[in-house]
Amino acid sequence: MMLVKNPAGFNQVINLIAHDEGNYKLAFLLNDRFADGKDVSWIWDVDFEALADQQVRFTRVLVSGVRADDMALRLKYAGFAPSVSRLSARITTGC
Amino acid sequence: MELNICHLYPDILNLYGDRGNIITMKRRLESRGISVNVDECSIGHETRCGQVRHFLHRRRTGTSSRRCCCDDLASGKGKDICTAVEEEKVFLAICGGYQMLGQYYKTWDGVQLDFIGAINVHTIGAKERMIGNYMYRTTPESSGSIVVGFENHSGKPISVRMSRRSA
Repeated sequence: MMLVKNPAGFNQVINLIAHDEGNYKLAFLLNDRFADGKDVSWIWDVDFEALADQQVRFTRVLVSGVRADDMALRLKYAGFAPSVSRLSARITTGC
Repeated sequence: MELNICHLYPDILNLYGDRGNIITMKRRLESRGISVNVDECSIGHETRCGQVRHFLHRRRTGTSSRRCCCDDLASGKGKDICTAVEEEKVFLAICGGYQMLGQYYKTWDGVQLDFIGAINVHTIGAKERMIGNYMYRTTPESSGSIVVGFENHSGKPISVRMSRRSA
């Protein structure tokens, strides 16, 4: 599990994953409570497109959290393909 | 069909994920079979408005960023933008980008920044920022659809008389 709070940190994590050759199941959890920052528009500054280019390596992609729908939309427009079930269930407990 | 978008000041005015507007617009147009060309236009670059057939795009800004743009707008770009408005090209203008199309911005402590005056709008800065989620329904003549978003700004644009097209 990796905690990110801003685009710079998120891009570092994406860079780490992009340079690993393994397959991944990815879960993106996004909240907008006070400690998280209530404005989630910063996710549009994250380079998710770099991950979408490698999505063949991701066996499953999940979104969750208070702003799961925003996260799903961001991934969709980054190029992740919901038609192949990579954007999947919303986890509603445990976060 | 092909759309040419002139994206103004993408490098210095992207404060809160504003490039998401371009990403979203490009994806949605392409999903409808419309090819999209985005011409990024920053300080010192020409707008090449003559080649832009359908869209110009502006974005929200901070007050200090607006100051950076004022000289650039005064150097000729503002005139090009006014011409594009006169020619009824379509703008997507967000927050500070919308304000900069107007007459001026006056900060809460009285400092005035003059803008290009393409539309009859001026903006008064509030001492406290307006931040939060919002949802509203547009007027019937604007389709009556529901808009969901997040606001984060201090300026309050005031429309004196909307005589020119804006968005």
